[in-house]
Amino acid sequence: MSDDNSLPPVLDDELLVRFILSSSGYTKDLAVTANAFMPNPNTMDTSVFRHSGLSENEMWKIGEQIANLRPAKLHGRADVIAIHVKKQSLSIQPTREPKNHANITGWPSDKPSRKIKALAIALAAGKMVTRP
Amino acid sequence: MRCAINLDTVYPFIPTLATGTTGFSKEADFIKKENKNNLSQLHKSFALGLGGVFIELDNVQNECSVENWDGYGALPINKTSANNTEELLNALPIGLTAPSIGAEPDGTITVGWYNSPQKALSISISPENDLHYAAIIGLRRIYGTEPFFGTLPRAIHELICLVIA
Repeated sequence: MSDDNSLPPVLDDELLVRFILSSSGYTKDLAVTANAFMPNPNTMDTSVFRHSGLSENEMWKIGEQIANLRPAKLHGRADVIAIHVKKQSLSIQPTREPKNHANITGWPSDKPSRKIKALAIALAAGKMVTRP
Repeated sequence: MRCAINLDTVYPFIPTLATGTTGFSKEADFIKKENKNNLSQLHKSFALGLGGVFIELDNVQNECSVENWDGYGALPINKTSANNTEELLNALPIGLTAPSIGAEPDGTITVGWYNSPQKALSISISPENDLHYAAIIGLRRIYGTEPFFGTLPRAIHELICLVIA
């Protein structure tokens, strides 16, 4: 999932999708939690998918493929407009593989600063989207 | 709980109301232990306490006990973080709105209140007994770290009150 500068940059109004593969990513009333967007502790990035050019069905298929690869259960997804991520002074780096993938990068090194950014993104995402 | 009481009035007495005491004698230790047991029992009741939150904590520990539990390379739950979380839950005031329990990719447990898109608080309980917190209350963004010594830190108590109000 290496970054590639030749890929089109993520626009402010693009919809980003974070597949939620654990119950820690949402509350009982389906509010997306900060946990859903906290970065991987080793790579310090958050994996997301770009919705542009894909139908709803295609997006869910990607989610299922990701879940099957792990393997994990696909609980739902958190949809957030890219500008809400950029407002947190984070970058969104598109990657060539897998298709439509991007990483949220630039997370601060201290935990409370990471948490407040993840929380702001989670609140912007609102409720988890479940498969119809 | 709807924090109608003034915390300034209550906080001088909080060590004895929660799991700790201000004394260092054998008797103080006994009272501390008894208080802790009593509070723990109350918290496990569905009527007065946090009800199913302790079950939720068990479920999170089970779900997140293996590597990659989130599908993105998360670390397994840290047992010390889980034990500290139980202590933190027991230190919460009786009757408080139950939080949601979760885990972060670095293996720490989180306790959170998500009241609305403008009001939320998430606390991570580290194995070192640090409480890393982040709250959004309207336009305010409040975050930081408080040590946890068995009593709910006042700064966090106040944030909980603001978020659940």
